[in-house]
Amino acid sequence: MKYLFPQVGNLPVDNLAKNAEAYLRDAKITGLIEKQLQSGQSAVWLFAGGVPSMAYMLENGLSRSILQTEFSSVPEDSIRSVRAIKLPDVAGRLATLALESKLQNNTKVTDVAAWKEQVGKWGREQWSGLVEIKSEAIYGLALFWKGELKESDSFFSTPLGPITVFPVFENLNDFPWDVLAYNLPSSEQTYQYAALRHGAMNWMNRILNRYQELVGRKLLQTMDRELNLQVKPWLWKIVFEEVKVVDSHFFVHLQDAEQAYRALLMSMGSQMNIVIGNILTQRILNETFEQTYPDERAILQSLRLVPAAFSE
Amino acid sequence: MSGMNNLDMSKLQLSPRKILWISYIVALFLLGFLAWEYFVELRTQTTSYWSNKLVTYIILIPAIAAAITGTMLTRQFEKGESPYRIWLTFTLGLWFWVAGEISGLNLDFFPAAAFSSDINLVDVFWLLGYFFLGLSLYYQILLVYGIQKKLGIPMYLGMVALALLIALVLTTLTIRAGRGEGNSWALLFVTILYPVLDVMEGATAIWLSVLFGRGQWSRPWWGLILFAITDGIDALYRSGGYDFIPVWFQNALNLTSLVAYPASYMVAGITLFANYCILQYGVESGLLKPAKRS
Repeated sequence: MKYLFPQVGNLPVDNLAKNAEAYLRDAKITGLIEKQLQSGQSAVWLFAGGVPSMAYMLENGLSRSILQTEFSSVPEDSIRSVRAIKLPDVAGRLATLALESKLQNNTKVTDVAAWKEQVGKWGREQWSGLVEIKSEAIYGLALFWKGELKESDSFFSTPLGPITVFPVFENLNDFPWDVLAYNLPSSEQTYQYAALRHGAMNWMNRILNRYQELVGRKLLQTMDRELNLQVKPWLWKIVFEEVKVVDSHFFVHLQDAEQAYRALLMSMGSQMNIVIGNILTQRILNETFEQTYPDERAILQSLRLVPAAFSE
Repeated sequence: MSGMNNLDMSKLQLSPRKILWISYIVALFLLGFLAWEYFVELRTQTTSYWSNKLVTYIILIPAIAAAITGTMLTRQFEKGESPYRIWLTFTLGLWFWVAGEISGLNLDFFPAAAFSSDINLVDVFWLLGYFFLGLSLYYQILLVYGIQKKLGIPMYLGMVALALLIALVLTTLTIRAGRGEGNSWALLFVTILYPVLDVMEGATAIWLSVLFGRGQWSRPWWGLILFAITDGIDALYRSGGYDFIPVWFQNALNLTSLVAYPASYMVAGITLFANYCILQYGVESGLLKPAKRS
């Protein structure tokens, strides 16, 4: 049965069953509430920045989504224990993916070399999916996208505290690992959100790179600064630094992510229009858009996040 | 130079936008003065030596200003950055043209600066200016189209060789046609080379300007387009084209040339300064649109 991030301690709240929800909402934090039932099932409710997200019922390693009211109405006498933890947004996103995905295979990894071999295989296959890693003392979720391990989508809970950098995690040497690979169901919104996020980030990174080539570092930094200022009032955890943009935000709905990316791409387009003109801006947007992966492009197009929308 | 690199606008109590407006007004005033001077000459049918010199000195002001602002802009980049070499070569080209303007003035006072009666130091500076401005355009084209750097200088030298070859062929054809009598071969060659270079650089500048549209970044190229217009009129005059057009049209062309020439430096200088302000002050310069905050 899935038991997400067991090393993370409970929220500092009395009577978790009653008060955890209010605590997460009021403090506007990301986390989850987990009710272990006498029947062996468990109900999990995720929160993103205090906003209630999906709820799931877990049984025999399988999960199905349930209504929030269903989660709240679990009779108290059927609850064995309650856990409520605070998580970074990245972990929240990964938890949703873990609960939505289908198990592909389960392997034992005995050392770093075997792990690296497995990572190499996924890389060659350009595999996209979620990996859950469990051992005596550590637990982690990491997203592979087009065969590449995404550090911006990795989170590990360890006795030393949370870790997001893979080499550090590997060096903990807590083998053997139980490695579960999950396929991402392309029809699910969670997958579409991941594809949209990676597509938008991939596109934006390429735009920033090309823009820097044309106008230099100083103007790029000006654009970064403006975009970071734009992000602030919305409390989006998206950071622009030089030619890299990192999105660590957990958007509950696909539309919320779409709106955020649209606003940022519009600002990028508008700044570029002023500096390098609309024809060249359009050219850069087109060129870089074509460099994204076909499925990323498809979701961007389906949401009308296309070059023509961001240049005057 | 560090002072040149970082203008303290707060001490000046002027925003970059205000400075640009003042520059536009001063530029228009100078151009208006030159046009007035031209009309006075036209009406009185007299040309004074000192009024001609005054015009040349007036042209020197925007020429030096453009080279200085080009230097300020270039210093905003680190050496490894792609725009650095574009603006460095552009600025070098402007400085050579400033040197050409100054040596042109001094030639009257120091005739020893002339190599021969036909070719002089001014031509050397002009041609060096063309070389570097052309190189700047070439670098910009490579960057815009993402063409690999390995094409680099040899490809550009090939283009320069092509320009020389075209000028050579045209010079030969001109001599065979019996035109240019009384001029040495060297003078004829250089006279033809200028419009050839103008056509190549002017066309490239127009190409870039179309590509960049109204973007701030490419506006200094507009200066080169104005230079090409001036030299085009000059080439028409030297090739005897004025014989085929009415006097009123000749006067209109003369006025255009007289205004476009200093205007080219002014446009280059002001737009280079605008680019400098964007780099130095970012959105605070008032020249960029701030991103929407909510």
